[in-house]
Amino acid sequence: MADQQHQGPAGSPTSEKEKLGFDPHDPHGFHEGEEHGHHILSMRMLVVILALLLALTGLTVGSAQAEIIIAEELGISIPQWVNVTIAMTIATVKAILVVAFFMQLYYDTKLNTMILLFCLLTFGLFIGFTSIDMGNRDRIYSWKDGQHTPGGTGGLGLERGAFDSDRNPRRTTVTGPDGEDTGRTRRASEEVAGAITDYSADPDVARTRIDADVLERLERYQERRRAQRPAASPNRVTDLSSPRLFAPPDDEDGDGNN
Amino acid sequence: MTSIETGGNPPQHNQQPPALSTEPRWKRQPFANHWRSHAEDFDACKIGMWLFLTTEVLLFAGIFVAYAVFRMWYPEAFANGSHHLDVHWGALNTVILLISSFTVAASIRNAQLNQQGLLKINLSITLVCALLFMIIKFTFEYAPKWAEGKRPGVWFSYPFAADPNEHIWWSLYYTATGIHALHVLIGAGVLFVVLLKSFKGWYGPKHYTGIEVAGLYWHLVDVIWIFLFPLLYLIH
Amino acid sequence: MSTIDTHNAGQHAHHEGSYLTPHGGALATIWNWATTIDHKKIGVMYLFAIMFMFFLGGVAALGVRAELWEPTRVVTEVVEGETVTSYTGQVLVNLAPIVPGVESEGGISAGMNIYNRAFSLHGIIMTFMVIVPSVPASLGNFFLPLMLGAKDVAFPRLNLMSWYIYVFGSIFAVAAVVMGGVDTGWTFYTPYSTMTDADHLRVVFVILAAFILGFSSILTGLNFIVTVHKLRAPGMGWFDMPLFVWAMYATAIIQVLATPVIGITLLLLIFERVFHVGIFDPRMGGDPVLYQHFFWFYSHPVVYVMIIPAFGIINEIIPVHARKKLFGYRAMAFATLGIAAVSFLVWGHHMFTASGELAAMIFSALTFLVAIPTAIKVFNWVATLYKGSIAFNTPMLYALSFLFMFTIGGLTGLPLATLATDLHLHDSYFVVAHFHYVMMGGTIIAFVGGIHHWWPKMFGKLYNERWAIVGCVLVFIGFNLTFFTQFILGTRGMPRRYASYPDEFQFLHQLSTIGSWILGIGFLIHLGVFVHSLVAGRKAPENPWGGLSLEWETESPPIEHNFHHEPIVKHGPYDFDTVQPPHTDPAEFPMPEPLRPGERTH
Repeated sequence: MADQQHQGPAGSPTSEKEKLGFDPHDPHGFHEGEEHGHHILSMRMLVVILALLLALTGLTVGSAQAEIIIAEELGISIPQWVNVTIAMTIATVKAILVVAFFMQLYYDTKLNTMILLFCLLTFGLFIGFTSIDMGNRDRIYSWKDGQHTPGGTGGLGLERGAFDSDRNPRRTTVTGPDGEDTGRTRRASEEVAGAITDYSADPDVARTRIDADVLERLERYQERRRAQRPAASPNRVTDLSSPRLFAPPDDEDGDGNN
Repeated sequence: MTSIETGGNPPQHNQQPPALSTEPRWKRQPFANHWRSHAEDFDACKIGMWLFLTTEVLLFAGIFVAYAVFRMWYPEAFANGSHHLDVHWGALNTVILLISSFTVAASIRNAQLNQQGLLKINLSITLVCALLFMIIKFTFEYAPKWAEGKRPGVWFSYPFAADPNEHIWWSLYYTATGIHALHVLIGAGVLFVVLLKSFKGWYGPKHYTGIEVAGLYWHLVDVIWIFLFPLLYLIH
Repeated sequence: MSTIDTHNAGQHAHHEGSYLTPHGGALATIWNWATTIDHKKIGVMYLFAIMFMFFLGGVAALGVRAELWEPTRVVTEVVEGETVTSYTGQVLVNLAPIVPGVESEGGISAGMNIYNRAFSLHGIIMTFMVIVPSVPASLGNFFLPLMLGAKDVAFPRLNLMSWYIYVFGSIFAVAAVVMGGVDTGWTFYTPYSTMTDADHLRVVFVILAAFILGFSSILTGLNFIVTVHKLRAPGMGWFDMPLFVWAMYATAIIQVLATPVIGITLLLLIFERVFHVGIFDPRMGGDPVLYQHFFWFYSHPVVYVMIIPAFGIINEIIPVHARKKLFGYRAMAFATLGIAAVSFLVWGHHMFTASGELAAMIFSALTFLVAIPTAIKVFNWVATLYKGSIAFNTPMLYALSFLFMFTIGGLTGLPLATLATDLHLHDSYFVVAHFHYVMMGGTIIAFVGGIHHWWPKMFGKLYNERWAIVGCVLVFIGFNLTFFTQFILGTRGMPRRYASYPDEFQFLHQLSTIGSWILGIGFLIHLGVFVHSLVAGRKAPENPWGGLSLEWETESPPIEHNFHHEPIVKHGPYDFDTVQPPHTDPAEFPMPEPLRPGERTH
């Protein structure tokens, strides 16, 4: 064996282990009894895992297509969470198969599994706490909406109402190039979208003009936002369904100033 | 072993002791002198690689969090944007990456069993898969979309956008797949080095640290794609 | 009693020289150091690089304090029918000829522009290039393997690579300074970082520098985790490790788990700035607060990357120089891990004024958790000192300064964690003083104390104790004068990052500025002490302080492979009551007398 020629002049490991009370080549007993790192997967196992992975890929694509077909043919609107749950469950199963068998974590030391679990825990904390805040920002924005006048934030669409689709019910049906119904809707104020320069026709023009056009485009975008913004009203904050922790400052005349 | 048995030529004069020089490269590979054994060296490299994979996962975590937040805010923009992606190319790329993961896992088995020929074949197939993935990504996904104006941020100029926030979707699409593609390239580069080394006989039973860690990296790239694929292509 | 067993004698039968022994001529020696994979040399190279960056950051800080000597006053006068605006009381404006791109604009004078660049420079250098790598990369690199009884860290070549990445990243940052500096603040908040200096590359350079430095940090952390797991000496279980090693381990976990997030954050920031992708831009439906979440998910845990190594150093200094067994070893180890765990739960407290109510409440409640493990630590240190034979030398004085200032820094964190008081104190000088008491009064003070503690071991030379104590006292006085005044300024409403202030703040600002000069003199004295020691210091014995952890077993400075024989650990690192330290004379370092009946040491 290759290992034996590297063991140096220390002598046979067992006798030394008896003398010292521990194995000098493995003092903390990492390798006692078994060899973690050298599990050999059978070819059959590998092929089965690959087949499973491919089948699951087919399943996830198929179920996504099936949902669309069901929704269109039968007119049932399937809630989004169904789609997300199915797709993410299948993805998780696939990932577990890859990690456990292709990456051999199933046969590996527990430490590597621990490392992965800590990693996922950190990921969970990151996405969880960020979502707690980002998911509740509409309350902040609608509260600030009544008091912040353009200038502090530049009035640049910080107001949540501007991009809250529920509050802007003015929607029109989107028609295709030939005037057919596409089944989608968009807000009235988005009609201006078509006015945006299409650079795709001439890439050279795009390269030279894009810098000069960046500001212009942003301004147009901002105008669209302003158009959607509902008029400031002192009663707006009370529209919120959930109870408020901070009472809004007095804003008697409703002009955004106290 | 090599020169005498294969060609029958007289042994060449070599400065190294003949007993060592006839051994394959992987048997001569020493371990660094701060380790106590090869097994420890191998274990440590694996732990190190898993820690590195942790950092990679958390790097992509940022993109996933941005995706979650903006999808929570602009579900319609994301649904509309997702409709512009061709699920067939996405699925094909998934299959390609899964097969390449399989060949990497198989190549580790080849090294463990000292099947030097199969080892090189499997690694080569992996590299071909990586190449195919990149070709599909660029020629059939990025290029047409970019030309149609489906671009990130202020570059977005697609005239038939149905939602004012669709450029956010494209920003995240290009960021996520772009950084993933970068990882595919890095992984392919590492595997290419491993392939070159395998031609010099660096890998054999119990001495395949290089393939093992490169393989772990490659599988991670696959796992990330396993999640990116449904998130980008299959929502509606 | 010796901890060394000769079970593998003969493996290193030949006598090895010190790691500092030059190899041939000057060029050969430089080449040897530049390509070394010896953790000791890499640690020393890190030490000098960090000291240099500390000097740069310190100069910027002195500039900031100099500008605040007097408030800026705007003088408007009519000269020959034209209104002319001029400024008085500005100091940094004298640098205007050599700083590109700082013209007066929009009511901000050139001097104020330079001021903005100076505090940004100070923050960026001190955070990313000094405090984050300070203890782990220099002292940690040098002493972690020695304390574990290992020959090197797990991945020596990665270790060298991490040093080169550090230098490379620092060069990027310095290049940005030479190009005119940035005024984004160290946090790179959008839209400052995406809109200012739009026609210059230097902001991208600094962001790239921080991105690159992240890799260096990750590699160090990864290396340390594997080293602690795989390279402990025979006989050393987890709870036989010195607490400095525990601290390095906890730090490394945070580095590995948190640093990648800053990587992606800064990448996205560069995309935002260069390509205008819009995810942090409210005009395009993005959100700057999302950037703040991303940034603080890294940057809050990294605050503990800065302070936990300092805890580790204090854990070593106090028992050794008080010659007493550390009180509550296990509590200390678990508190270290506890702080590392809590560090991931509290980042939202940097956004109390920006984030939602629910998130703010959750984060406020979680933030108070930090106080528990930290208080355990402070209690244990004080309990260790109780009835110890305290030597008032430089390391111990630094440890005592640390206890004093860290306690102030920690306690002033509580009003900032409280939602109601934070609304008043947010972004005021109170915050500035708080984190300087923790970061500087904690980390830097412990770092300098640690350098003194281990200096004889690292370089084999003793330093001049008398002058070092003078420096230590000056640093203590200067630091408290500089920053305690800022607590008062903050509670009175002085906002941070302003180049000017109302006249009634001038006295406290001037006290603070005088304090910064005393602080600077103190550090210069330390520099002199170090240089003197290297040039003309007396040879240090193997164990000048009577320490028990493994690094004191080997020679001073250590030999190339650290130990002549692989050590076997048979006692804990703080068993001063039962074990005579290696290489010491019982007359100089006597064992404590047995306790009388009924007497307690704690």
